[in-house]
Amino acid sequence: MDYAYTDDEIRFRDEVRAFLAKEWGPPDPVAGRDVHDAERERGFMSKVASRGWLTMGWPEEYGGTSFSPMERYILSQEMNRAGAPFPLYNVNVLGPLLIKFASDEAKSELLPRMRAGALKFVLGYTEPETGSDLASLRTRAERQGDGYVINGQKLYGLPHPADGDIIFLAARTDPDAPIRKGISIFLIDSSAEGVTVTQNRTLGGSHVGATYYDNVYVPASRRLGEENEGWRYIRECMDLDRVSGIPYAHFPVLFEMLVAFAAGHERDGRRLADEPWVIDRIGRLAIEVEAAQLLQEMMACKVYAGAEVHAESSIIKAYCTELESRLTEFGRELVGELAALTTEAGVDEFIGRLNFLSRLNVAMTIVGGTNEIQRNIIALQGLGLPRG
Amino acid sequence: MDYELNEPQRLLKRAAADFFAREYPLDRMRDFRHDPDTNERELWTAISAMGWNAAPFSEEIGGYPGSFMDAAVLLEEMGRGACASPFVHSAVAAGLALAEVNHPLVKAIAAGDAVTVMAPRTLLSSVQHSADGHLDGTCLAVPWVNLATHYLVPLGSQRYALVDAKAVTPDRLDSAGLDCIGRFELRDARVMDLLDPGDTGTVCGGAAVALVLLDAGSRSLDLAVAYAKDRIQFGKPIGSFQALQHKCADMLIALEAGRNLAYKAATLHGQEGFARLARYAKAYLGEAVPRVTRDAIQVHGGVGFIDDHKVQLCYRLALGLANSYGRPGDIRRDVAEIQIAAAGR
Repeated sequence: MDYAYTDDEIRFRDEVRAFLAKEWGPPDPVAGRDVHDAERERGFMSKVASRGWLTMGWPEEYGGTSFSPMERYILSQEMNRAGAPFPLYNVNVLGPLLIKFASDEAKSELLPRMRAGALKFVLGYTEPETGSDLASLRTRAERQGDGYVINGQKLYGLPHPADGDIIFLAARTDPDAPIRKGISIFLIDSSAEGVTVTQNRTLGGSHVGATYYDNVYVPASRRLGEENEGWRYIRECMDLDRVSGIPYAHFPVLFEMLVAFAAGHERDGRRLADEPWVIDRIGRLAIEVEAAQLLQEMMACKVYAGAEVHAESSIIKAYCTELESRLTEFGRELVGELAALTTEAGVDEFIGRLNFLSRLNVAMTIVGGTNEIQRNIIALQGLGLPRG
Repeated sequence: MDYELNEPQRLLKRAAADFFAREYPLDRMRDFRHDPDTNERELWTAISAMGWNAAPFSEEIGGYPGSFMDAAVLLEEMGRGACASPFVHSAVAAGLALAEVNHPLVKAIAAGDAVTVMAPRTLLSSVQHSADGHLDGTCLAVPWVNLATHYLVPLGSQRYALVDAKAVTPDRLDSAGLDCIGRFELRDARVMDLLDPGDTGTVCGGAAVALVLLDAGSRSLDLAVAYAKDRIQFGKPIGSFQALQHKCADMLIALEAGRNLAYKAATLHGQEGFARLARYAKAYLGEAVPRVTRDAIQVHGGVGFIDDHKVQLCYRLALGLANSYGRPGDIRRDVAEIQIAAAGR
């Protein structure tokens, strides 16, 4: 048993850090999650692409580059730590999935854009009536000639779909089959005729899209894999996503910011960091941030070594998102009465950013399977408890 | 990075697991309380005969090749087995403190011939070191006074006096924990040696306790899950109810978060970072495992509260050890001070 990175892995981490310091900026738990500067992100992405980092682990004939699994993990951690945009889901999940199951036309059209970092996917799973119970989705896809006609509605495309994005849409192709057996996946242009996008502003300040499909025609070449096998591909996404669903490398940076704030501010002539309750919370959170890092590293190590994992990703999701909530809660207590101020209030940058994270974190315990669903998975798959 | 034990460690783990499953299952551990001194002595004789006491030490002084990591494997199985023995206190805490200062008593500890325990600094202990070098005072909550051959009595912050157990007449105290604990008076007691091992004993003891707690917690969760699958209420196994499922999920989350801290500490023994991780692990599991093992009783409902139920052993183990070798709150304070000082630079 060994928790240490090899010398090569440390060298690679330092290389990524140097790249990020030059091309993006210093580590920051908020940057890149808050205000999006599309121009800046495009420029950055082409530099990332030229390093071969967007096709890590893909087969060689599709432009795949040979980095070790731990290097892939380190890269994603460093991008997250720096708050840099990185299409991890494309690299780890959608790329390999398309290569395996998409039609030749779809592959030749979409993969080059993914390799260049110029393609955004929007997941079209959730509907007004189906959230955690995904398999009961209602959006319909009916055969028509060489293709399908789509009718229905999807919620929570993140970020809200822009022209040129591809919607990874789950729709029902066989309404008479058992619910998991009648779903197919389609790769739909968000600008296709009949697609309407509306925006909803969120608590986190960003926008999510609702998409409406009114007789949207999609050619069969844009169906992923076999008809009615969509549930299998959704499951495969979840399997491939076990490691990429780990965006918590910014915790140590956030924690350091909180400690620095406590060490650098006084109230009633007394330094915050000298308050007994502050001291205890700092000690507790230091330990929990370390535990979160190690949980992620060990799971990556297991997954990449081909070990069977059961509920690990659910454990990490529940633990880490709730730890982020405890971190921001501590920050708000340090800040006191000013905690509700946003960046726009223009009072203090740290306070505004903390406020942003406090709002964004509310989404984290919901997206990717609510933490209650994660606990169900832990109980059923991790502990083998009986279904209710 | 490697998540697996090596082959010798796997074999050692299996041997220890087999020993507890075959010779000392939880039912037998539970019955210790009817005649604790005899049962504890028998178990300790068996453990010593297997040579486990040498595990934590380096090979030069007769230890195992994997040293602390090998001991970690044994500590985990002792936790799973709710094992009541001086191993944590003698072979690991006092033993490694003595090894730190190259004391010859280590060989006897490794061979199982000596049992040395550190007397803790407690709320009610007080020891005076007289001008002529003798000790007077009271030591409380001293582990394993029934088997100890030597004591390390704390003087000041990091110095210890080595005292022959024959110099005192200890009383065993009634304890809800699994470890035997007692009290003794020092009256003009002779000091065999004065030692300054720094905080080695406390840090190593903390790392060891973390590992024992980890698997005691894990065993309690196994018992809770097995019970929840079997126990039928309202026509269904209670484990199918989400309230219990989520309680069990929370127990697993807490244990998995602590597991890496304890394992990483074990892999770092003798290297930079060991003390830090050992303290983190102790503080985290010292707080989490009493809660987890209590929740395991909660899952059992009323039957778990009856003294004959083995799920209690895990909670009792945690009650006894959670505050040994560093109270979680003290450790959090020390950790915070380091973080705050670093931020101020």
